[in-house]
Amino acid sequence: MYHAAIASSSSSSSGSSDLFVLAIPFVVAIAFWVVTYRRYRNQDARHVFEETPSQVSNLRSLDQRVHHRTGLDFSEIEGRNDDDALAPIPIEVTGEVSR
Amino acid sequence: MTAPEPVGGFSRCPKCGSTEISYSQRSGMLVCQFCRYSWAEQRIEEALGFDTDIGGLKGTVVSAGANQIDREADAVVTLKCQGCGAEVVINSATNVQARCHWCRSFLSLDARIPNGAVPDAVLPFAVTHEQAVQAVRAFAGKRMTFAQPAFKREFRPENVVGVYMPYFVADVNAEVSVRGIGEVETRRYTVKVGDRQETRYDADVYDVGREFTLTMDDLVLESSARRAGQSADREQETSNIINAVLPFDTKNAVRYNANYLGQYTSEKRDLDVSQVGGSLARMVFGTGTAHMRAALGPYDRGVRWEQGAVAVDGVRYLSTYAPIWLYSHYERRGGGAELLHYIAVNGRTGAVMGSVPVARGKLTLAAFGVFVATFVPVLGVLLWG
Repeated sequence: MYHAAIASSSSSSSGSSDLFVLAIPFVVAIAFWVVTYRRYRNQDARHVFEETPSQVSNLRSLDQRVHHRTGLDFSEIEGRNDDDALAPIPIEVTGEVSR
Repeated sequence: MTAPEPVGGFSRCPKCGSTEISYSQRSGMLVCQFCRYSWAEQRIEEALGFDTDIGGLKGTVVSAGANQIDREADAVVTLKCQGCGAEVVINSATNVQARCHWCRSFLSLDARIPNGAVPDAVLPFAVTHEQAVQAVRAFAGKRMTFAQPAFKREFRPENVVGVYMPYFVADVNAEVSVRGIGEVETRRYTVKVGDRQETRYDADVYDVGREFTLTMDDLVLESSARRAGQSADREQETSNIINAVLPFDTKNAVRYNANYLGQYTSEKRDLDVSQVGGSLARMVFGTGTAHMRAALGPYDRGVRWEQGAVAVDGVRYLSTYAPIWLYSHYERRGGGAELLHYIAVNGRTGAVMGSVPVARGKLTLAAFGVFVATFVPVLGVLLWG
């Protein structure tokens, strides 16, 4: 019924934007549920260990341009993880804690 | 290499020799109940010589209290009363103090025993029971609307309990390297796709690497398997909540004295330093990449780290008890399952975090209300807008 009403009140070129507007109530309701649940349960809460007093020295950098990409869909690199201290990056551990 | 072991076993007032000693939370001092003399134990870093330059740290140093646990060691320990010579049995799993039944002297389990019950250091409670009750009440009070009825019915913040949790505190000197791909945007433009305009990006791709020395001062690691999420019970409780109220002001930790524990309970350490090495390396690596963020400015499309390495040149561990106020609630789930929810208050800083069981049906109903409240004006806009 809603679709019929919408179809009669909208031109065919604006059909997709109408659907987008119709999706807003679903998105808002789901966001409300998720945000509230997270606020109660705090399942992601953790010790922010990366704020432990620490110091970096003797920094060596490599920045080598390797190629150029065009026509990319997203504004960020795929799989960006430089802002995630818990990113599951494979690491090799040696020295005093490897035993 | 092992740090020098302190002498312990029988705590006396330094002034009058009485063993009737208690901890005054108000002053943060130990107080002799006989002569009222008050004092504080020495700060542990100074006491163990752990206040030296971390950059020069080589090899592994493990303090006496962080030494390997003897899994066969009996929790029941016999203490020889130094007041009258009687032998008094104490269960170290539940108590660190006992009273000699002959001469009434207080015996304190300060001597290092190999079952992990006695740490090197302790951070005494600074947050009072009243403050903890207020913090728990305020935290839960903001989350009552969709809390499960049983939680609301049984909510008694006065039941918050002070517990000393075991931790390793580590100083680390490590070499960290990380390698990945970074992208720099060179062009942003729009293209026509069907009847829509879409944004596209061009980018230069870089091979990015960083190598550096990282020193960490007082990295705190869980030394209880249960709290570290290494036990079989990890799915049945919200241990991350206790983890989330860290950090502690570890620089103020003092040499362990059982009298600091007073009426509080304590949880025994059951992990060795060899079992936390992987966690330590992960934390060092995560801290290293966090430091590198500021140095990645030109990569406006970000960096994807793909591999890394941590070489620990030097590390020193000590074990400590740190104070947590804990409020707990069992959520009964279907099939006899239970989930233990905690609200935790850091006993030093007052930081609070918690998990409150959610009445999902009520929350879903409210979400449906939000849906209806949003849908009506949206429909109005579509029909008449």
